[in-house]
Amino acid sequence: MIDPVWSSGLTYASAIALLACSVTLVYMSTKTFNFANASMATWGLYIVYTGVAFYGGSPYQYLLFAFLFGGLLGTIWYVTVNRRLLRRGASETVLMMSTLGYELVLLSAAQMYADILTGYPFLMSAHGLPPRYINFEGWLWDSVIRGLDPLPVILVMSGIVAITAVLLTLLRRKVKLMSRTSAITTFFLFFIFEAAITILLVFGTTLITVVSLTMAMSILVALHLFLVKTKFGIALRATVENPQLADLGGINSDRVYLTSWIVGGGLASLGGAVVAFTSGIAGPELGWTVIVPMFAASIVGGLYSIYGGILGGYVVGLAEYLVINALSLSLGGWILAYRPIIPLAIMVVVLLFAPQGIAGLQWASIRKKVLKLGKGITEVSAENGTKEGKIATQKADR
Amino acid sequence: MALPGPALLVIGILIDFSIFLMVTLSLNLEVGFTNIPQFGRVIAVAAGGFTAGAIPGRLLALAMGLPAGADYANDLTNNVVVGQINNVLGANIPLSIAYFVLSLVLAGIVGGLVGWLTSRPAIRLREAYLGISLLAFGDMLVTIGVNWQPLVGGTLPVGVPDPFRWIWDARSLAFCIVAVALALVTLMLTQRLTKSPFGRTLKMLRDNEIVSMAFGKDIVKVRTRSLIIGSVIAAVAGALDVMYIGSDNAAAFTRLTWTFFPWAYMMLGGVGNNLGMVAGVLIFIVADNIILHLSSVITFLPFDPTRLVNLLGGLVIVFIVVFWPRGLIPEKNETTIPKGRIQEILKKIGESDQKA
Repeated sequence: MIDPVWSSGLTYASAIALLACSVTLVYMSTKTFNFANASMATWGLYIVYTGVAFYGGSPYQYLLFAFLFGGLLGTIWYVTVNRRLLRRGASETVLMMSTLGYELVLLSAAQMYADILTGYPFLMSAHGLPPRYINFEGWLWDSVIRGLDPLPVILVMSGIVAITAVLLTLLRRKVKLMSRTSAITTFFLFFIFEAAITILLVFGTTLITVVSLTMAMSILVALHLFLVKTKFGIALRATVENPQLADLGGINSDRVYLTSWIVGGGLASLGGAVVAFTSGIAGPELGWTVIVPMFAASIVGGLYSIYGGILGGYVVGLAEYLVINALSLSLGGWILAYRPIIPLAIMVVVLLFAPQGIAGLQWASIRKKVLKLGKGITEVSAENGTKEGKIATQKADR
Repeated sequence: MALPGPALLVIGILIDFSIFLMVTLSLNLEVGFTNIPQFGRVIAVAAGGFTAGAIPGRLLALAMGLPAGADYANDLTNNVVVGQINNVLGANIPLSIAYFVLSLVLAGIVGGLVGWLTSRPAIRLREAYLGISLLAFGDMLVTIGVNWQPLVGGTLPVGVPDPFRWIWDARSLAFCIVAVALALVTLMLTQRLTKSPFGRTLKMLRDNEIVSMAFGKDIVKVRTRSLIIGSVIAAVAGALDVMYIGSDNAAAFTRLTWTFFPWAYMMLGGVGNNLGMVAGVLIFIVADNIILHLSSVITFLPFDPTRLVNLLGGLVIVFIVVFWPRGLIPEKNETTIPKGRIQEILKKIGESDQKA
């Protein structure tokens, strides 16, 4: 069995990745930093909870409904308030503040819902799920994948990887669907993902880890294909880059914003439902507790890139679990309570050195700087600090 | 003298009002005038509250020879120690007053320090980045307060010596008078500040940063000063709150109560107008109290009535943003010299015109 820290950590990281991706998507297109993401996440949890408590079955069945409900919440907000504010040309701060109002409304609605449900004792007796202290651990540990036999798993996974390689080559050669670099990148990422899944399956882990990882990765792929290959996705990117020009080009910005709110809301609810699996005990304040990691993750990833959002989510989520675990082993259990400080620390470091986030890093200029530094060092050591050497180094620096 | 029920209610409302008015005024200074997305108001309030809970009590305990180190915050020790301090304070009026003033002053100093610290990110970050950073700092501070036991007792709140023990019967009334006085002083202070050259600099920088910098206004210094002043006011409010309640519960310094609701009060009242803050805070506090007291009458509600308070806050923010973005009392255009003087000058010009 894989160390539970890795299992829970990967699940948590996938959830934060989804949440951060939703924040970034909505911010990218509508410049609205969505505070209400927190309560949309909470409502995702409560949709899954309602399904399980009233209709039975496993929580995984209701994830789709959570996504749809989140989309509904996003639509409601866009149609009632956000559209008006965008047309008015409201500033970012005003847009942010308005979502705070929506957040309080949704929070109180979730709290009222939990209060009302508490009056139905059958929920607690039938499924052991009090509405305010929801604990999905039963499902978590019932659906553990105990280490599968390595050989068949590795064979199947290698088969999948080989088929993907062949498909990509065919697509490239015959249909000219993508350039060589993007084919190689895609293959590389897919290989890493398959390797991770193989390790998880061979060593054994909880089902939610595999499910959440697969979900996050497939959503990433789906979003990428949507943004790059479909007409509407390209329209969305155009609206993000230059709304006025996109308008001139005949793109209906209203539909673009609506779509981003629907997808953003859906992802938020999905992320919230997954987070509940790791939190142990979840209640109406679930969103409130993930708000800092979620926002830190989207800032770390870079507010203008979806891939950055997901990457930032994995960085922050995994760091929270792994760093705190490592620290607790050396410093003692008391440090576990200070887990919320990790996202803040990462965010501070990233903002100091890369204010545009990880996705905003200019790799070309970084490479140049590193090479120059390396050249300077080798020249100094070669010339042993002679006068010619010093002049040569100065010339190289300039 | 036992106060009648309704009087106690009014006193409670007035104390709440005064404390939140101070917090909201400080927020207005930073958000309305300096345009900083201050989502970390709870930092200064919590800093003031922690100071008031951690330091003055320990000083008194030291003076009295009682344990004043890490075990001061230990639940069992703390009960005994604070009880003894309260006995001494109850008998000694000058000492009580000195303790009260010392608490507020210390809280103010720590608040100023915290304000300076929070101004460091404000130099380079803007808008969403700054807001989230401040939000996260607030979270961090409260997490430390809740988990580091020697500070204010962690999860078992430390007791705070009562500065008004000597008027035990009318303690609430005494607190009410002092709190309202402090709130009025803060209101006068912020009004003078915003009508002063400093206030005009703030507004100039807020409205057109590049032009102001071309005129030589140092934005970093101005933002820092504004943040420090705002944090001092908020810290004093936090200390006052802690001393009124009598115990320093770190977990009570939630984002919701001390950052987001003051934003709601400020937006309702009218961002950029200090008198608007009075209106906003008053309306909200009264409405909240009405809801909470009606709930004891209307018992058929299937949910906890505090949910309605959150709902009201959210709805108010949404409606204000959509329909009334400038708030109840919008920001006034301040003239450089008072209106009366302008009238005199106009009259003089009119007279000289007639003569000519």
